Amino acid sequence: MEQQAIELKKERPIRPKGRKWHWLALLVVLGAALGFGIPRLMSESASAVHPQHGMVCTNGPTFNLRASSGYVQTPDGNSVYMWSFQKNPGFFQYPGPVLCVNEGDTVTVNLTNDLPEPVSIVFPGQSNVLADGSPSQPQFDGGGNLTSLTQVAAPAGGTVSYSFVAEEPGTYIYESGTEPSKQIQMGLVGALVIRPSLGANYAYNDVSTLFNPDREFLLLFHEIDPDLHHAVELGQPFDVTLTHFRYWTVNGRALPDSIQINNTPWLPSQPYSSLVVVEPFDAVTNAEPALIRLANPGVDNHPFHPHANSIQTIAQDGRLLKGPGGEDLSFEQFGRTAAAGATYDALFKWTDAEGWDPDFNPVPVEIPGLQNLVFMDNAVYYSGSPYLGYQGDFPPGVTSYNQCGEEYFPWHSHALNEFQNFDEGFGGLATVLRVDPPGGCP
Amino acid sequence: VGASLLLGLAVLAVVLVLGGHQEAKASELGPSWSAPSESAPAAPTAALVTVDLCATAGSITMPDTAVIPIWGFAPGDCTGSPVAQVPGPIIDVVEGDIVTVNLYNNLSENVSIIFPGQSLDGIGNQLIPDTVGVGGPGGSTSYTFTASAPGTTLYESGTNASVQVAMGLYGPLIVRPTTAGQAYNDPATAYDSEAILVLSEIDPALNQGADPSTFNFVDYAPKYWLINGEAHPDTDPIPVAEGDRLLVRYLNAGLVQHTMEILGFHQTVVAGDGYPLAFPYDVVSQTIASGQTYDLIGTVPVTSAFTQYPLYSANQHVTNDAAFPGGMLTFVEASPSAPPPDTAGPLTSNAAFVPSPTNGTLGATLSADVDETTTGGANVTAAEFFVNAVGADGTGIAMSGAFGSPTVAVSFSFTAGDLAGASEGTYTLYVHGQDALGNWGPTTSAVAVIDKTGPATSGVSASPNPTGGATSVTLTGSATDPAVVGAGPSNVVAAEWFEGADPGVGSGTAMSPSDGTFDSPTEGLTASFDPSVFAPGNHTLSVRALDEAGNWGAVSSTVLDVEAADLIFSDGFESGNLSAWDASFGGPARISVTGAAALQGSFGMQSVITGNTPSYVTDNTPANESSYHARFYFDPNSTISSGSAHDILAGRNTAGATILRVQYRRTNGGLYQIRAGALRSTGLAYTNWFSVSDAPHAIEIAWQSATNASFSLYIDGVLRQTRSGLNTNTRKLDSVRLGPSAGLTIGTSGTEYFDSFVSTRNSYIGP
Repeated sequence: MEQQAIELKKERPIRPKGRKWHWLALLVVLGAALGFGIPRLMSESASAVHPQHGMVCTNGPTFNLRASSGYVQTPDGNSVYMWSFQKNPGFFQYPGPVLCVNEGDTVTVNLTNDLPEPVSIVFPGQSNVLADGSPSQPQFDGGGNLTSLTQVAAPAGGTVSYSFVAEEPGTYIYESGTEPSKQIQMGLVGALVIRPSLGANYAYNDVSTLFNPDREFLLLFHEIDPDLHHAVELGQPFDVTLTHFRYWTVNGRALPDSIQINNTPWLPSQPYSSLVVVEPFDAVTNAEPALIRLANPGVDNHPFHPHANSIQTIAQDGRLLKGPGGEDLSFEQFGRTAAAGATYDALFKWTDAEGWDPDFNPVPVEIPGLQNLVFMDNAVYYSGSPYLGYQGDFPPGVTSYNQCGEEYFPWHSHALNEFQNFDEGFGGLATVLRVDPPGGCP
Repeated sequence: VGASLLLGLAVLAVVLVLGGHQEAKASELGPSWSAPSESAPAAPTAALVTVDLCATAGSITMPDTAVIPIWGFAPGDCTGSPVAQVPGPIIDVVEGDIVTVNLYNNLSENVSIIFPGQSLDGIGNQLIPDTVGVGGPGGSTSYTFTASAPGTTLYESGTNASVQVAMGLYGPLIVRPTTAGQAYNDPATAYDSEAILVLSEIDPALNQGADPSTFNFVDYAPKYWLINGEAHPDTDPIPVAEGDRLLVRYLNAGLVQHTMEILGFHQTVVAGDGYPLAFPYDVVSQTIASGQTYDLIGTVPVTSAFTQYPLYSANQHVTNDAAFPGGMLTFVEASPSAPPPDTAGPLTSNAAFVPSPTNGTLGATLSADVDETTTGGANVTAAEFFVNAVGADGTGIAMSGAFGSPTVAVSFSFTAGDLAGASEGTYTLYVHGQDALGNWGPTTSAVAVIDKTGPATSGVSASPNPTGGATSVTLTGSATDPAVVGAGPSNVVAAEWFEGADPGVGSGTAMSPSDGTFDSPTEGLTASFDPSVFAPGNHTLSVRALDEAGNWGAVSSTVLDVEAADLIFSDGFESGNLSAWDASFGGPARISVTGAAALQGSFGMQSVITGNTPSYVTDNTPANESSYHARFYFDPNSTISSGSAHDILAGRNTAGATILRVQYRRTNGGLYQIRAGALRSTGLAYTNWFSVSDAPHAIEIAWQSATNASFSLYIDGVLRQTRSGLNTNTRKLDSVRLGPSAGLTIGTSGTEYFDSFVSTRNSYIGP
């Protein structure tokens, strides 16, 4: 089995591209104790231990959201006009805030619409949603033509309030229900997390769903056809049947931006990191798995593949995979296709199966040459050593972003056209799994 | 609903070669396809089912009026005017059926049909799917297979399939288990409502090209996204009842995968490609790849209101030629659950027969409350009752009420005549009501006690008896109501008494219960009265009682010996005037009340005598008395009478004759003397004169009216003389004059003092 952190580097030669400063920044940020003063918004919570990584919760059960427009950056230097949900008050962000509530909460989402057309929110997977106190129902104009899947907030300042009881724990989507063929593409999407009554370190009301709360990750997929966004920005018509996606995002960022830390200051509209950081499983010191929440409010299905690893899908669309007799119906895959509109919850443990050691258990094959490991601009993530926790020497002029001998594994859409930014790879719908040595980097 | 829907109304030709029942349904993809088969045959007998399909060209119209040429399957053998439809007719068969599909080709290129998921089992020598097909127009071929297992599958063209399927040559093949109302043989796949949703998409460039077979699929870019060949808003809604288990069969006949979702409730994936899952799982969105089928069952929430749940493409294929709304979008439309059939009649409560017990003479009312609110809520339209035994519904005696609402108070009024013929006893009346749907409810009973016997009265007595002049006599007795069979006795509620002749029931004098309350079937009775209203002598007093049923019982009597009251009149003048007396004579100058005249107490009466003018007071209280005592104090006060006597007390009869008298004289010798006399048949009989001092003296006489009467005079408490053997029988005393009233002479002068007059009938009074 491929266990090498260098697979990414082997897949294809790396062509230098612009914005290499991102990678330098990653190095800086990953550098111990060099953390920037990260602007943190009120009512947010991420992992207490690793606030730079992992899911950033906006805590409920009442949320004030604003549908607004703004711009996001893509790694190739493009800037794309977006619509999205932001906190109100707050700043434009894409995707919308991660709405975190507890099972049993009566959730209220107050939406104010700054956009020039009606906007609404639907909550797939929730039942008995109310809009302004009435059942959420499709809306029709006087001619009987459908105008929206639910009650809307009128353009330019209109409001609507949705509420529902968070009945079942799990990972869910919220997204526009008004002309979703356009508005979802424009970015009006977000995730909803309902925590179980069993405890916040469980994914569901089942003890088998225990996870390490410092290792909770949300990966939300989306697609961008910049032509549509440009047309919308200019108020011009666009034929959605001619949609041709050029960018794919995880948590609103395309690789390599997706692996920047949460709230990195140079992506002011894209606050959420996708970098998955774990340490090797240890039955005593690191027994609890990471929880990976996948949410796909996009319009395409995306096969999502962790290099050299597999994940255990335990739930789909907010429902634990258990048989009527308690049978464990979870399954392990190295490629999890996330269907449009679907969510999945997976537990993940990284196990140092072989235990390669330079002295007692050396890798019995020749290590690839450094020329095959360069990522960009004569820079590598490689530590200089194939052994976890070890760093080696590099020739003069080679920059390594490696901190302490940690290993990196790409985690990407295996629809490889999505693994790029405007036809240039690597990029797009991808992130990276980082495995730190036991105990983490110093 | 667009006109294209009507294409689906064409009836699929079904020929039953063998078998006793129709196995294949001519289901149209219209509004009714979502209804589950209610009469799916349960018989496992394999049937031979033959289906004729005609591959032919036609067109469908999109909601934006775009006309799309299609190739589709029409029911039948291409004779007449076959109408191509997308998707083709539902082939709806039962597990085990042997299905023969006859394909008639009306197109100008070869067409075949393949049945993915069905095993060609050698029937008709077919073991290999036909991808060559039969030429046309005019060619035909045939396929036979055994529908060996339940499942949701497609049938579609197997020739030039990328083009022909894209053009519309496909349809659903549904194999049902032998158990109706289930998707598969697992009871967990039971459903209440069903939707068969064939998914596909259309790129008009393909369909509208001069020769679709020359289309380059590199350019395949669908503009229309179809559910059952229609795009929103022409898609048919899926009618369900809230709470239904809705089975959605997704069949993807398109060239691209489709992800579908329902907004508002989860669905459970129970089968894929016609194979039931050992472990179903729940989803919001379900991806159906090209050629795949999935069966999902979801429970429609109960909201008690009409609710639309969008069912749509999670790929947001909700446009028609890029215009929202459109495409793969319809609504699961939940109506509030139909109330269960109302087969329960209304409930009846509070049945009552009032009054009860009764003797019926005042009539009675039977009433009850009939309530349908918890048994269906329909209006109550009728009510009836039965006596003693419940008869068949609708055969009872009708009751009245304000019918027409779910809650009605009903009643029936019995007249006195209705009850006159009812013999005494206990009756059970059974009441029930009927709702607008004709349901009679259960009966509730009321008891009617008919009591026609009044209380018996006993132990009647009066005390004191004889009355001995008492001013109050107490009449007592006891009344007991006899038991009514089945109900016991009624309470005694009143009693009365009367003297002598019966004045009629209710006209006597009320009696009281001795325990204070009429509240039991046995009551002690008591009444008190002044016997002086009756003449002395024997009187028959009769008592009777009334029960609550309205019956007066027979009388029970006693004889009361009434004796008059002893005291007749008394006055000590302490009032300071003569008002106690009925009259006075002589005027104030002669007769008055003064302190000087007080012989006892503070006042007395003085009579000033000058000559022969009387001055006296009259008491008319005596009423033809036969026995009379009178006592008064008298002080001569040195009154001179010159030897002649005058009356100081005179008793008179109704004619005014003096029948007894007390006289006073002062002899010429200066003696003050008193005597009394009574008138008898032979004239007055006097006592002797008795001398008294010129001072106050208590003078008392005792008089009787009898044939052999005695007459006595007491002075100062000492009997001075009794005259007996007097015949005073005809004399009755009716009034008395006190004071000098008769016998006065010119020589009489002085002022006499009188005080403390008392008269009785029987008793000696004394000083």
